[in-house]
Amino acid sequence: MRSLPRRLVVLTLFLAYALPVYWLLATSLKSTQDIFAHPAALAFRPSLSAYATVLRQGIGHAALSTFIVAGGTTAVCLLLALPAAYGLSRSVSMLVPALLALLIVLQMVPQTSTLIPLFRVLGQWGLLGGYSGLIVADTAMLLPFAVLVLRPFFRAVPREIEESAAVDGASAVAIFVRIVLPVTRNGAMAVATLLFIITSGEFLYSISFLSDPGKYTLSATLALQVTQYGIDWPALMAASVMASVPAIAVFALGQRSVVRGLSAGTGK
Amino acid sequence: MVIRKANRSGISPLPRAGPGPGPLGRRVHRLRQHGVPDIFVLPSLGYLLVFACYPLYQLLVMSFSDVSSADILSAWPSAGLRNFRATIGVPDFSEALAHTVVLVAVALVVNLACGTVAALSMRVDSWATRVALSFMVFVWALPGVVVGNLWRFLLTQDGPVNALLVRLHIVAAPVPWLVNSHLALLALSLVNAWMVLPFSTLVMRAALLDVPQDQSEAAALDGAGAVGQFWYVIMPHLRPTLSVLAILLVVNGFRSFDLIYVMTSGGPGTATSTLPFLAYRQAVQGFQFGVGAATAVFSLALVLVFAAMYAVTGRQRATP
Repeated sequence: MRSLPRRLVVLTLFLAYALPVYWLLATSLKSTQDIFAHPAALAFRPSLSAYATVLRQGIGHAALSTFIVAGGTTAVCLLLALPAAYGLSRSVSMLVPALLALLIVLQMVPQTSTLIPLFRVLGQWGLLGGYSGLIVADTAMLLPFAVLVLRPFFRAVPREIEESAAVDGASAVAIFVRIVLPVTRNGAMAVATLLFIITSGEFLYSISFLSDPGKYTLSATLALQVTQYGIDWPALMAASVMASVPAIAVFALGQRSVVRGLSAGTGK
Repeated sequence: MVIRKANRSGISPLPRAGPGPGPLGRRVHRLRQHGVPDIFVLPSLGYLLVFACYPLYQLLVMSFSDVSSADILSAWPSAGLRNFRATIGVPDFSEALAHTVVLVAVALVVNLACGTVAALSMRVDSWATRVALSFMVFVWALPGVVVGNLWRFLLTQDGPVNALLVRLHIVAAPVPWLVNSHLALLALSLVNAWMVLPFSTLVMRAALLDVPQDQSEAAALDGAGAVGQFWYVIMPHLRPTLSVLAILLVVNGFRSFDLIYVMTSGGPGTATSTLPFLAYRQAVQGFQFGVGAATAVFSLALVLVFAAMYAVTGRQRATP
């Protein structure tokens, strides 16, 4: 491909993705009167009043909830997924292909399909209403993804390291904890980042399984403010920017590893 | 989901030499023969059986039972096939199926075509490429609720998109994007495609980087133009990636919920209601859990077909 069309495509993509992001940020910094006076204008006088509005409405609590739910899910998910991905990368059992197929299928299940029966399953075990039930459900949704993405990182670890440790008399658990885990630190970080981003954006389980709206996460608050805010676009955009903060922050910390993981073909 | 070329066997050849008999030798031998103890996998497996597989079983039972919100926790009387008849028989269902197909078709066309063009254009690493790519990846990382709210604002009657189109004299009057049924479905499908395109571009770009450069050069020497080089040299390398990507895009379409919930709430009317959204509306908003479960089982079955295709294609060409 020649250089000029190539540059045009890159410029088009830049505009197609940067402009909406700019508008998101810009609208959150505008006053309500400014918005529709010059909707396409790029320059404006910034104001923080929309952020003051959403803070008054208690978005700080929602941020805390997001942190608890996303942090809890990421931790539980990694705790289960790290050994599982290691085991699946080393097992020579005939069951491995079947287990991998099960993980792929579970990963693709539509969220509404699990939402409906989880009302009963979580309800029967007294897990409805609080953070713990939500973390349990989120973990069940993301565990297959976490195992599948982590497995290649473990497969890249040379077996000779483990064998020499076995020769030195280390147990399988000790080999995993002291030798394999430190080597796969980067992969675990990348997956933790992805898990945190995905969980902080999840809202369907949150609005369904949390009984107290005071416990709603940022995404849940945002999903339900659709009618509440009505026409207060700056406030809605300010809340949206705040709901993106976990993604932005974690992404800024782990962008390199995330992009590497993505380039290897990691899907949401 | 990981699409990555790798050796599939999972068992690397091991050197013959090693410690002889004795406890240590036995341990190394065990490590080689049996791999790592299965106990590493058991906690995850148990968790998934209880919190992922058992709920899906309950969904299946529910779809054949009479369940309302009042008796969701008690025993359910059997309903036979009544739920399936109740959902498949209504026009809502065929409409939702048609909307899902439109959403998937737009995502496929936009992502396979634009994804290839974008990946080809971004193959060379430059600062411009890096800036554009990082904005794309950033949008990919944004929560669906944020993207849905953002586009709901951008596409309002007197919003920025219409203002821009009128100012550039592309349209004479503001377009009723989310008010007109057909336009709403189109807008929703395009925003959905826009949201997935960064992922497609990255996957395609990774596949392109694997195309041997010397083959393109040899084709150029033989007088092949840019189109010829693409079609005969690059395309054969991309085809496996394209088919895996296509399956993932179809599955993505049959799971679509977040964007719809926020951007259009399935409306105007039911103009943008897809199968997963219909299942949610029936069960959670309409309190007909059995009927909603039947709809969910139907879309789940469709997803399973594509998951099986993915498992087969993926195992042949890339390691999941």
